[in-house]
Amino acid sequence: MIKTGTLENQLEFYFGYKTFRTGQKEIISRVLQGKDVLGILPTGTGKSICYQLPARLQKGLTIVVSPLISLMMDQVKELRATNFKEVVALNSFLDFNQRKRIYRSLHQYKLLYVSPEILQQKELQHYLAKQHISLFVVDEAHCISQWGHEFRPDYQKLNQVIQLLGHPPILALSATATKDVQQDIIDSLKRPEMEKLIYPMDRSNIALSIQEVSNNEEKLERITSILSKYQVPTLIYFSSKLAAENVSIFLAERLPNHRIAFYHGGMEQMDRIAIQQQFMNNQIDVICCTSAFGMGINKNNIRLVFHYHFPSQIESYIQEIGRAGRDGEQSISILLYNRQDEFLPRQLMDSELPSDEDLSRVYRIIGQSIASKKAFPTDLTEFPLFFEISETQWRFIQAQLEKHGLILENSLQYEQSKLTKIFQLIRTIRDERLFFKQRKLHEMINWIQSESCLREALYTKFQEGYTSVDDQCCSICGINLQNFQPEEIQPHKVLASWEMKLRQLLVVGEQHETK
Amino acid sequence: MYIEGIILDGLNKLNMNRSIFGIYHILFGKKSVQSVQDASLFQLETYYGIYPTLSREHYVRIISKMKEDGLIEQASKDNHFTITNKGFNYLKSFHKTSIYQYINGLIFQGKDDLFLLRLYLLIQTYSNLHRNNNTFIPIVDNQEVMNWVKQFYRNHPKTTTNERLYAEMHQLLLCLTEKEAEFFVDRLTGYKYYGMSMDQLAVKYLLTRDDAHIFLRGITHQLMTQIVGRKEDYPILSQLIVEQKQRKFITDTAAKTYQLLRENYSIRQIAQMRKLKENTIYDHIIEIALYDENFSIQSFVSPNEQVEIISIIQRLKTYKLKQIKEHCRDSITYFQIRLVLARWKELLPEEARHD
Repeated sequence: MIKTGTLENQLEFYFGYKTFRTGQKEIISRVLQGKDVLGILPTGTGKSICYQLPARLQKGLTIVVSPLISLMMDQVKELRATNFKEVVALNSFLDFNQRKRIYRSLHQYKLLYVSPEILQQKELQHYLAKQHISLFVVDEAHCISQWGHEFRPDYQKLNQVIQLLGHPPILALSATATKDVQQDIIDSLKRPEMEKLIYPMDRSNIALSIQEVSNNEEKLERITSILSKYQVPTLIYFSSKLAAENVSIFLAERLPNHRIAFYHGGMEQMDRIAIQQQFMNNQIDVICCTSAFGMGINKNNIRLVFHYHFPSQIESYIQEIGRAGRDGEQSISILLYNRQDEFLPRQLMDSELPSDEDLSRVYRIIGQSIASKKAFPTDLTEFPLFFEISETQWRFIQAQLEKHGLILENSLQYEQSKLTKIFQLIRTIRDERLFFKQRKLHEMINWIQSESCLREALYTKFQEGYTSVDDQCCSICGINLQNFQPEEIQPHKVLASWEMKLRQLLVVGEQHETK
Repeated sequence: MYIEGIILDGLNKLNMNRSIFGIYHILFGKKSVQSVQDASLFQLETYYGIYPTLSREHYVRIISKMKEDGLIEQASKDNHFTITNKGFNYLKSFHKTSIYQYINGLIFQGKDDLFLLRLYLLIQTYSNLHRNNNTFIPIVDNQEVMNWVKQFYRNHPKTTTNERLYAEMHQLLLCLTEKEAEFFVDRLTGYKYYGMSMDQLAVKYLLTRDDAHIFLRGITHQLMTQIVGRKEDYPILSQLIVEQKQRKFITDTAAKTYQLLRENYSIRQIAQMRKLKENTIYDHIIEIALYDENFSIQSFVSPNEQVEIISIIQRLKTYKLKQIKEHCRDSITYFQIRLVLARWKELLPEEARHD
């Protein structure tokens, strides 16, 4: 193991990269000095190295709080493949005994991934408090903020855990955090002295195009005509599962040489993995998907990202187009805009938050259940059904009840005097939240309709300035598709019979190929 | 094609004794005494639990489509349907399919999914190991299955396993038609290659989503039947199938009741001891009668009473509890009728049953 030498040497020794990418070195040196850092780095630029390298270099345990189980699992798998074995992920997939075993052997690990929910467990906290924590990492830190685009209530409780662990140094990381959200993160973690290291999120290799159309047929025409020229890895984003499926089937008929599939959260787990990995392996060219696709997808040659429907906020849009061109090569984002599409996100918003009617019903059911001594479900996941509301609506109410101490240790506490007051409060907060979401949507639509450089209008909300692009900037400044000559996919050859396929799977092949 | 055929077959065998949802509960594999009893009473065991992901909503859509297509007609307001002539022709052609021959729900229910998951991951694992690749994203994200495959690997190092696994798979798939084998292999994942999703398979093989599901289920049952029947020919693949458990459907609570019955407690005593209603204990006894053929029902319904109930069932040609009860003498209870129905098949010779 190398204990001395420059950070570059160590980077190469442990990860095989010769140089750091933008921001990594600055963040890592601050972290190694024990400073608290808020790092904003664009997606796909290697945020994870910022804690993985310190984890290997420092004594003690590095804790990473991450909101996505699949993301954690992928990182653990990748790290283990590089021979870093002292890494483990704790999540709800593990059974009781497996968890117990990890709790007892925490001292053997250098890097621990946890979900924010699991970190709230008293038992885990008890074991963690005995460890020397060298670094506490908050990944996707924008989840802390109510005003972030992916609010996770459990992120707001991180500060208590940090106290319990004896105030280790903190590294908060995010790819998309406006100035408000950045301040929220610092406030919530109670580290006013935290150093901000903000790196430009604009991606000069992605040309931004907005094309206004008057109906869905026209959208399909545009997509078909562009795809018929380019057989390249492509994502098409939709706001509904059904639309993603239908368009995928339509396009497959119109473009028989393209391999097209759809992906959304309603599919069975195995089919989701299959489609994701087929795309990674270039078995598929085009994926029609909802926002459920993409997190943790590390494909670097996506060339085209379409938005058949636009997302309800700019942060989501930036994240989705950011999946294109991770290799730095020229890529294009095309948003197809129909004025009528504005209704979709509005409808979605209304259904995500509890209506006045929903709130009165939940309030009434709680009261009645207490009066008739009827038991509440013992499992919090059964509450949506019990109250006849959706899961997202319940999550919202649950977070508020927790905040005011009406839910403790996963069970509902009841105090009539408090309850009435809290439900009034919940209504106010719901209104604020709705207002906030409407503002975000408005911001998105404003941007779509802007008449000056799209790149400038998009990025200056998040950072000072942006890199101007001469050739392929945006549909306002001009894009020249003639100059867009991406490398095409070479489809695998398809084997003729099932017997050949089975042979190929199990017994044929280069015996000595390494990875 | 398959789902409609199965529903028609179900309607035909239920013969108006149950509403259209009786079939749904069988397909879905509802773990209730009534559904298991129905499956056995109306000889629909082969369909039990073959479509556990079928939602009630979607089922209703399938039924309305069948009505629209003139395969079935609504016979009453309470969801009873009859089969049209067109429907009978449809059913005849369904009976000629291999899937109809293959499918065997009650026997393989629950075990089939586990068999498939293990097989998918086993093939992916050995395919990767064969190319000396130790890291890949597993197609099956299920810790129990992963542990099983790891354990299997410990006992079967890779040197010769690939060849043997290939030979067994090849031999096994020969029992299918070309199209079925093709379909099944298209689903498999290996080294730097991921198999097709169910939706992709449905498109490629011109099946509806439902039929693709049942097609795979039928193929799986056929493969399992082959393996179980000739275990010595499939030393690897037979390990993927869990052993048949005795009395699979008896619930823990019914088992407790059974224990107390064997200790000669009365129904009333058991109800008191267990703080349950007597009706619940009756349900337990039905459950026990269905799954333990050695369990004697004589002490609950006398031979004379059995004869009376049976003759009424035969005369009325119905399994409807209410109708049967109305024609019996008053002292005979619903519980006794249900017990007789649970034992229907044992009590009568084959030709005397009406279905």
